[in-house]
Amino acid sequence: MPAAGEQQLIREAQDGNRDAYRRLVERYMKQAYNVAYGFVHDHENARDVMQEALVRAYQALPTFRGDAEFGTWLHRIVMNLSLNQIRANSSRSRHEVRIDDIREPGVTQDAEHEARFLRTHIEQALHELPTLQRSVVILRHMEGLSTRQVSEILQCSEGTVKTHLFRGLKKLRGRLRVLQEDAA
Amino acid sequence: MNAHTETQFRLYEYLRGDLDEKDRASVESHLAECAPCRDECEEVREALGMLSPTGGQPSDALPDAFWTALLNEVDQKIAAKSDRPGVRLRFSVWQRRVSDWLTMTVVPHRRLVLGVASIAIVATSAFVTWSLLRQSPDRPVFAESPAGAESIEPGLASVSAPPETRMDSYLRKSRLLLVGVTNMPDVKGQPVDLSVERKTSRELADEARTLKQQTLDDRSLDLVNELEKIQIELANMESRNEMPTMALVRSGIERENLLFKIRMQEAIQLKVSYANEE
Repeated sequence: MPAAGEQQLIREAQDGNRDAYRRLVERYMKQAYNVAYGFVHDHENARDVMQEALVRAYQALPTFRGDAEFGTWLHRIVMNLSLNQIRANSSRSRHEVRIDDIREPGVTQDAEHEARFLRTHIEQALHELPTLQRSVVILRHMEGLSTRQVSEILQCSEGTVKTHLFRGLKKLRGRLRVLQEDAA
Repeated sequence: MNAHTETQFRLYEYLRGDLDEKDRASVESHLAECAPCRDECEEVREALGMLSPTGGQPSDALPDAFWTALLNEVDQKIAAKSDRPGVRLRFSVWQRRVSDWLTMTVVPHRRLVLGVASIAIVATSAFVTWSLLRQSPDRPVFAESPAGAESIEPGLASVSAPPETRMDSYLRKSRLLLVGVTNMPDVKGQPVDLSVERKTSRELADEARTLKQQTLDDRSLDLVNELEKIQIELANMESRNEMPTMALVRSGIERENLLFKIRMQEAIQLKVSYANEE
């Protein structure tokens, strides 16, 4: 159940007050953006997903009954649109290797480059997980949502969330090891 | 749920230090005696170690201007859409409010509301029954027609209606009658209840005679003559007929291509009425 202040904003937004809607989404947009990015691994695509999600959420707002938190509801929209975006991009190469990600042998990498390199590996390993496991890892671990929130977003039981988190993390570890060995 | 599964379920919270003392002790106790679960715990610990140094969240790298621009674009898109809540979905808001109001007002007085609703239903049923009983037992009920075709609205256009309206009404009802007769299920040797068709045919034959006294063009006159023959034939059939006679009537309808002719005439009438309106 949303807090009282948030409920007021939701009611005003439902009545067509765009300013109230703006203030409402400001509370969740960064976390929602991270969720989108976790799926699409690309700022441009994440921005597109966010834009579409925020427009759709506004249009669907009158149907929002407040049974779940607004943030959870928005995350669900973002996640669904992210998965659509991935499907739409599936014909294209989703993991083109950026030129600055290629490590030159013998060249010492600075910390920033190293972090980016690791992030690329994680993104790739995440991308190779089954959709449900990936969703759980992103929402629960990367975004720090509670098991209950994740179960509401994915519309499954908390037990399912825990199972997929456990399996997803194990698979991730295996995949990251392979990637790191290859890179080494 | 066995101890292994329960431990697997709790490993993530355990490794993040999110479990309370009791649950943590339970996990540790199981791990101490279960080597496979210990291995799995190490795998998840390693995975979390690999995931942690990612250098912050993707949103951290974006400047404030990015978010302002994003919100502005969203706002513009919403403004540009004609089906924003203020227009298309305002109904949903009102629907929800009415629903909430009903929940608040009806639920506490459920028995009273149910009682009033029951009385209203009984009163309505009594009125409908009384209304039906007042009417003639011969009243056509086409929905129950054995022909199983479209139901026909009772009554033709009133006598005072303009000739075009009467002709339209006559054609429409003739078409429905013939469609019903043509689509009548073919059950050989079984008597068929034709009371509804006979009654309608009588009314239509009477209307045909009235129409012929008015000024009709040659084409309309020919069609009304042909329809009248079939309608008289149908009106004079035994109320419970057998299919062979009905088959003869149907073949007459098909031979004369009456349904096609009716549709053609209706199209012409429609065209004339549009021309008159312009």
